[in-house]
Amino acid sequence: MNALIKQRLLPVALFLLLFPTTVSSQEGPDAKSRPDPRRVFTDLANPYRNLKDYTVRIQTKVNMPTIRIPDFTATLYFKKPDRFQIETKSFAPLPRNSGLFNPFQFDPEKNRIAYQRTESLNGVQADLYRVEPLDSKIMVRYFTIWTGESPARILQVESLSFRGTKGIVKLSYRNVEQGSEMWLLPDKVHVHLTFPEGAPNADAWSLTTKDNPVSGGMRQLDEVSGEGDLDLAYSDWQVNTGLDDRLFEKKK
Amino acid sequence: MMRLVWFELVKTFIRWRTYIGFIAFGVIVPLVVAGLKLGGQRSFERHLLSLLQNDFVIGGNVLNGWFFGFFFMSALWVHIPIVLTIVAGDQIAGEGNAGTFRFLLTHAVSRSRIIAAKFIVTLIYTAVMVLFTGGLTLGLSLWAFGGGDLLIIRRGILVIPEAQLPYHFLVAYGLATLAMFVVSSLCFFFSSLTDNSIGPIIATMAVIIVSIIIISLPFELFQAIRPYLFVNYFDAWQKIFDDPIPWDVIRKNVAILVGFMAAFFLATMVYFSRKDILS
Repeated sequence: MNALIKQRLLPVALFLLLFPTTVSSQEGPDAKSRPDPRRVFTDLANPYRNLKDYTVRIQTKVNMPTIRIPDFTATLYFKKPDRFQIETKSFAPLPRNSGLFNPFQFDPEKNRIAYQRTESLNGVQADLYRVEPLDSKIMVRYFTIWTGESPARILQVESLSFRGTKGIVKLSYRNVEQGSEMWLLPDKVHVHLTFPEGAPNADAWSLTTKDNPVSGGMRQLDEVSGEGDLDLAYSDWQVNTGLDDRLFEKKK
Repeated sequence: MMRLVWFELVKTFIRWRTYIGFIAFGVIVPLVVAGLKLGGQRSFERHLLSLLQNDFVIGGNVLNGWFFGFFFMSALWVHIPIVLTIVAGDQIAGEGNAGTFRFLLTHAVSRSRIIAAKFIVTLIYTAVMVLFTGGLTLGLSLWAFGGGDLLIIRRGILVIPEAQLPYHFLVAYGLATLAMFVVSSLCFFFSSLTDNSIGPIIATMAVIIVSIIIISLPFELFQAIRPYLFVNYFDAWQKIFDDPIPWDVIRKNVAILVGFMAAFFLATMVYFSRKDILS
């Protein structure tokens, strides 16, 4: 009897023992190579956890047919978690999504992050993630982010706004020494923007001709189309100088 | 001739109605600047740049004094003709109404010289009015909102550096003055047709309003008429703020405006030379 039981149960026992092993042996190598997005993005923000604010000088060159402005210099102020202030006498449009450095922008608590694949980006092995902001105030449908190098950093960000504007941001970094601390901060940022074709502003609709002498002098911006580039060069980094909150108060 | 012009100039500037325009703009412009300063500036900025603010964080003194100087110029050129016609419409008709023409024409001065002197005075008043309005709007705006680069929103966005702006505004005011010369010339011509100065004012404004309607509506018939209307060339001053500046278009517009002005002046001359002065 015992021998019969042993004979019948043995395959089951063997199957139960082997099955999980089989499953784990199928998933094992992938699971090991597949990074944990939550951990990766926490690690990316980790070196900056002591960063409370920064001040940096930005030199910007805009090359866009629709926005023709001279090169400008601005001072950018940032305060944790996401407050920015731009100080310049010139008209200074700076890309809202990823053009301005915010190490806490892709906080795993505030974004849905999924690993996509690993690929080569300009000869560098990079992991690609899809990041969907959970905050409805952020006007971006999703970001595609390439991370890589050592120490790990964001190499490239692609964003698609709800309006349809596509932005590709390429970043290069340098080490900035501030007292006893060393920070890995952006050095140069190249932004390529593609505006959606034929997306006029519905608010600006008018029965009158566009080029009439009455309205032709100045009117609401009703279309931004085509594509163009922005090059931002960061310099004179000053980290944790204790920026006053009043600096970020919006003027009424 | 110079004495005649001086005489007409004194006659024009001792009338209180000559100052109606200066008083009107002297009140309206500071009121609008105060409104913009007390909160209007920000809502103005949001309205103008709403489309851009989806994708960009905007920094800098965007809506500065130069911007509002340009904005006022765009808005007021429709209203300036009203005050210009008050003086231009009275130049000839006023004399007829007051019964002073017969006295004036008994002097040994030809009719054409009297008309030419009156025309020159009308142009002087027009230029002073435009430059007063321009100076007041720009001066007050710069005082209230400070300087900076000029943001032009037409076909996309163009920013003109502040260093180039005095030149741009100077040329623009010159071209705006020329456009207003045409209005005054038309009103001056209407003034020669009647002895009542209200008629030329209403007739000139009617021509301008009808022209604006024809130009503004995108109907094929109206667009075909458009090149024959002098109002169509009033925006020559705005072209100074294009990049590159379309000098060939500006030259053509200037030639057309000067042509209209000369035509109205000659029509006045011909009509008045043959006019039977009864009062």
